Amino acid sequence: MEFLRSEHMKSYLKSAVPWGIGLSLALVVGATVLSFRNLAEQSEDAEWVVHTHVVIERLQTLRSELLKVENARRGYVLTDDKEFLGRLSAARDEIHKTLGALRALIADNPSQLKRLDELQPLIQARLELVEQSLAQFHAAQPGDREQARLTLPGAELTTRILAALDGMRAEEGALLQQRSEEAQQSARRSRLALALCTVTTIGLILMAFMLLRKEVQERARAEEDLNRFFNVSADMMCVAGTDGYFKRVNPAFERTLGYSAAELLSRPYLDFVHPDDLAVTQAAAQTASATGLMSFENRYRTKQGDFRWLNWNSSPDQQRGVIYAAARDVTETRAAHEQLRASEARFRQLVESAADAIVGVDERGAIVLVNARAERLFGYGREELLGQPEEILMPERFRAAHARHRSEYLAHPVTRPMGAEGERYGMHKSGAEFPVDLSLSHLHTDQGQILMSIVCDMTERKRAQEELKLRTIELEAANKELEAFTSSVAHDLRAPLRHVDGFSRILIEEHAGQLNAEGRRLLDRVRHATQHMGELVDDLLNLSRVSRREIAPLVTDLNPLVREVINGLQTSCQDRHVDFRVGTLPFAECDPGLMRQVFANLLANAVKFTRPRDPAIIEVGQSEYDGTRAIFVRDNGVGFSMKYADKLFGVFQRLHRPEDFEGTGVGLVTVQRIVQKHNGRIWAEAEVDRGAAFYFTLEGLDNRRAADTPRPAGGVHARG
Amino acid sequence: MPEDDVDILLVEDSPEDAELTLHSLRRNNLANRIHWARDGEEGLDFLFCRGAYANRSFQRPPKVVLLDLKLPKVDGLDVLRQLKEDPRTKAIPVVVLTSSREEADVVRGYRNGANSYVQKPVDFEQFREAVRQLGLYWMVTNEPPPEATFSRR
Repeated sequence: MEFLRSEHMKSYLKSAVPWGIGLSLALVVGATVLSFRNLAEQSEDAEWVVHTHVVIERLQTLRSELLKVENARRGYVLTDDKEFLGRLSAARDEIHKTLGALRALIADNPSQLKRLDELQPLIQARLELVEQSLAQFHAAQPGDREQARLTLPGAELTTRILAALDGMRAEEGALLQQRSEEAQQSARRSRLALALCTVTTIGLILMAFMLLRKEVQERARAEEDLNRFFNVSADMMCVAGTDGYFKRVNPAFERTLGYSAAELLSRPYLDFVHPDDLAVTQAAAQTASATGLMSFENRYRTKQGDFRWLNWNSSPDQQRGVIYAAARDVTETRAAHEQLRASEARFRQLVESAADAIVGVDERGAIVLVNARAERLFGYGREELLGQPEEILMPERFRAAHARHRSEYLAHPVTRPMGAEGERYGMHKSGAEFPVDLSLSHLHTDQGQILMSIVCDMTERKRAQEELKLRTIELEAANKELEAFTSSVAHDLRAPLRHVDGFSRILIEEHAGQLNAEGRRLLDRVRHATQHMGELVDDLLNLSRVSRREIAPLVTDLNPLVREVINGLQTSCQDRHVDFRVGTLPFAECDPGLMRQVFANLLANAVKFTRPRDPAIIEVGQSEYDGTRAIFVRDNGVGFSMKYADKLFGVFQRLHRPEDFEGTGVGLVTVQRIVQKHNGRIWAEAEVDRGAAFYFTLEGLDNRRAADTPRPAGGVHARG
Repeated sequence: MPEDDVDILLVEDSPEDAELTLHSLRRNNLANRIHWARDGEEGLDFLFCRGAYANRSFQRPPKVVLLDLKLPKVDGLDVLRQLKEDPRTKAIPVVVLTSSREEADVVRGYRNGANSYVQKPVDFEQFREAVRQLGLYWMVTNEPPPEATFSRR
């Protein structure tokens, strides 16, 4: 506000000053003229007074000279002294001279002139009368002379002359009176005018002083404003001379370039400019002096020796021979631009080298960007595509709805993955359609939004998918058929087996006496074989049942589950020394029935393969493998060679001879199937004669209940 | 054997299974009054006193029915259903004989209808043991339903 007010004031002052000065000049001139005129008038009046005095003095002279003539005549007549005649002549000359002077003096006064005109013949007459009397005297005889001496001719004339002189004198006296008064008045006026003039001048000088002081203060403040700006500016500011030197630099200059102001001012500024930018700088300086304002960029060397890019705006002052310039350090901006350019180039390269076709369109749907793959995919050349509506790339039936889709997408631009756009088709230049997968994204550019479509040709993938689907269906059907077959075969095999077993049993029990020892042995073999086949069939049925069964997961405490299984097994190894060591087991989200079967099979195996051991040690516990919790069942039994580990989980695969260890080769397959159904993994570690360990993981293992290491002494012990 | 004196009705299509079952029962002295029906239809005729068994009386039902599931004509589950739906035969205990665990699963669905089930094991010894215990239970231990339960319609 202060600033504004003073601005306003300034403009007011600007318009007031000429008026004020004009007025003051008029006043002073007026006062001066007035006083000059008064002075002139006064001096004229004074002259007139003097003039009047002179006229009076001349009238006096005339009077006294007339008396001198009278006296001289008388003196001569009386004394006959010739000297009196000389005097008389001199007085007469004086009278003539005075009369001439008087005429000249009163030439401006007609009434006095008139009086003089009347007087002059009188005086002439008087003087002639004196001449006459003298001539008479000379002509007279000495006797007569006495008579002549007694006569006084022209006394009456003399009285008239003196009266006229007195009249003139009186008039001059009146004039003198009048003129003295006029002179006094004009002197008073002069004094008044002078006083007025003085007062006015003093007032004006005071006013001028005030204005000047105000102006000086304004200027000082303005300059201080400018100085502050100059000092606080983040941009560099300088004044440079046409001699090529800086005249003044602001602190930003020192900050940016690292030189002191003195250093900057001591060398031609071109010394600081990058050699490659000298031409640009000089050209700019020339252009600036020709056109006024000039912008350009160049590099300046800093004190550290590196270069900063500066963006200059300069404005020359031709009259003062200086250039005002401001510069901004644009090194970082330029670096950013450079980076942007580089990243843009990389972006182009990336787009160009992408394996999928990329098409970019602007908001109106005109193609603004395509890559090489897009050219190949759609069969158009780049120049054929750019600027065209993107609809040319899709079959006719999709085009109408497409513009709507585009505006909808632009209203809610969310990057969508491949496939999110649903079933789409592209169209080749030849008109052939092909399935595509689209993913959409958008870019904000200085030319507005660009909608980017990544177009993936799905022809091949689609065909592969179709084939895969077909194969999967076939495979599933085959699997079902196989399982149904297995199940029914196993099923149907059971009845005759049961019969063979049943009748052979009855034969042994009730008709053994009729058989010899060999007959009984053979019958025994029949029964063993039957039983083995029964086990095989049962295990197979079980496996197929497990495979088909949907698991019903429950959060299950594995500890009691394992205990139950061990309790069930203990009857089968009552005649042996088996040490079951069970550590704390976690909870698991699993199908408890199936999980029981896993432990039953693994523990039965362990019991079986530790038969030669005394004591047999069977451990159950948990441990961690690659950050995943695993349950293990470990024994000190006969083990197996890891060479055959890959056969462990194959149906009917066995690593031991049946006469050493009985078995069907289905148990571990069943275990594996169950573990897999729980999204787990099972594996084994073993060594011949050093025991075996089976590990499995379950998706539903409670990892929070981090359990302790297996308790070697704790757990369930079974002793035969 | 008068048909009204039957303690056990065996409904079984396989002669071999029938013979083995009878053998087992006989060994445990439980086979005195057994009637063997060869299929589901015959079993139903016997139980509902019709056809060839029209002269039988509802007043003298068998103490237990051993019912195979896989039967020609009318299958075991059908027999079970009809038996349990009729108030005159509803109280007769039925033990289902299954030849596999699959069937056991099916029977479990009918648990309310069947009083018990036995899986026929491949091992004859096990089967014989099962039959023995079953026979003992139903014939000796279990108090048969009072006659009033089988009142005529």
